[in-house]
Amino acid sequence: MRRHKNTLIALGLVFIAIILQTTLFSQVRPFAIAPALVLLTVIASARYLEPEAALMVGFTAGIISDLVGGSSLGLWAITMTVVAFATVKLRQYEVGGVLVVAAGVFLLTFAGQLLYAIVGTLFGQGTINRPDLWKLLLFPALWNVVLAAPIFWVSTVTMRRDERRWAL
Amino acid sequence: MFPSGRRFDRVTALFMSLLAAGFVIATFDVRTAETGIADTMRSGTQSLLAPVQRGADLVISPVVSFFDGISNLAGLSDENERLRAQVSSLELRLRETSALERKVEELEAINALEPPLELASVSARVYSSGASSYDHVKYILKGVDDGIAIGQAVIDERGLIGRVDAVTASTARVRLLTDPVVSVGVRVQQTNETGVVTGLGTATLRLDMFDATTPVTEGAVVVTDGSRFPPGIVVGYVMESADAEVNFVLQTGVETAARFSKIDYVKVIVGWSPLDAEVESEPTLIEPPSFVDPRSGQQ
Repeated sequence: MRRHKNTLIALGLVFIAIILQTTLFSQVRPFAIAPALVLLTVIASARYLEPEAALMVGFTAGIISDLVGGSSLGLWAITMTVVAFATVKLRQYEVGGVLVVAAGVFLLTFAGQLLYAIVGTLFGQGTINRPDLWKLLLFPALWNVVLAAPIFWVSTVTMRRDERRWAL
Repeated sequence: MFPSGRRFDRVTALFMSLLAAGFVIATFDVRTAETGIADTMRSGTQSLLAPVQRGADLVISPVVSFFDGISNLAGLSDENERLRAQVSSLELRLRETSALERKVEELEAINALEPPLELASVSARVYSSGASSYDHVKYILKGVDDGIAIGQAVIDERGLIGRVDAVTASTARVRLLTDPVVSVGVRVQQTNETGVVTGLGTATLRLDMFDATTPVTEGAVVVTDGSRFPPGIVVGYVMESADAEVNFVLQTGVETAARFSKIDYVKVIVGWSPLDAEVESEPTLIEPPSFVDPRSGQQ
């Protein structure tokens, strides 16, 4: 019961993240690049979900991102499924502390954005040829490290009410 | 990491299945571009999300504008100085332009040329964008009910923004000029030669001119050529002078006229279709159908 409840909470958080990504971060874009809030929410949720549920939440978040985005359907679904899988594999190391969590968020976001650029290019989006690709990889990863504190706090409060700890 | 081998297999199998599903969906979407079920799903999702996004935008926009205003206060003094200098410069250019306008009017009268028609347009507010920085799309609060259709040009007060590429009853998606999958036929005003600009994902576009015989110079105005969008819409300005070598394409950068970082309102040109250009070019080929009155037998 608790597992299903957490999955529903994770989907709710993803929905809110998509709304904020397409409205708030349509206007607030430091250095003209927005944070990857949906990706960060998938990472935050995957820390507490069962592996299968984490993959399904990642895939669903990706499909919805594809539907509201401008590129081919399925590209973000592939990317976020991989990020959810990697989070499930790596989450045991977050007991290492805040710096490990920050490094993990940075690397997962960076890798996710890079994977999207590669898969997008395979499907004709021309993303890897962009002259500002390094900015698209680096800045969302940096913004996500900054946003990780509030987003991880929200996911902890909503999905693990009985074990509130900072970002863990 | 996983409690048992069986569990690991289940998770890996699900992971591989989802990846395969993603690739199948992407392939299917690419193969059935703009005709498949994917576009129906996009429209459905947009219709469902639009009310929530509009609500969020109503709350977020004033807050963002407020903080924007505060952060801009410090720069206002410098901005005033810069604007004063610009006004002086523009006044001088206005006097020069007035003289040129008189000459153009005289030439038009001599050659019996018609001035360009005022095209019907619909103003729309931007309320949302794509889900990542890779997306070059904006959503506007006007749709089929307001006369918006796929393919129409979208402009702001500075120039071309993009084109409508998806539409629902009350919203539409605008694919921006900066998208790497967008190409627009253009004409360099200075030389009157045509080419194609392609998005690069930034405010810089790439201009390719395949039959250029004259070099282009920095600052030359690039406008639409009338093949897909109404002719004469400013697209941008040449960033670097370039010349075509024999049998080679002239290639240079174009800075967009529109300011993509801050698009709040746009205009969709609804009173023009690419068919208009074809009709105008060969008007004599279109014969009106003859009408025979069946009762009298007279035409």
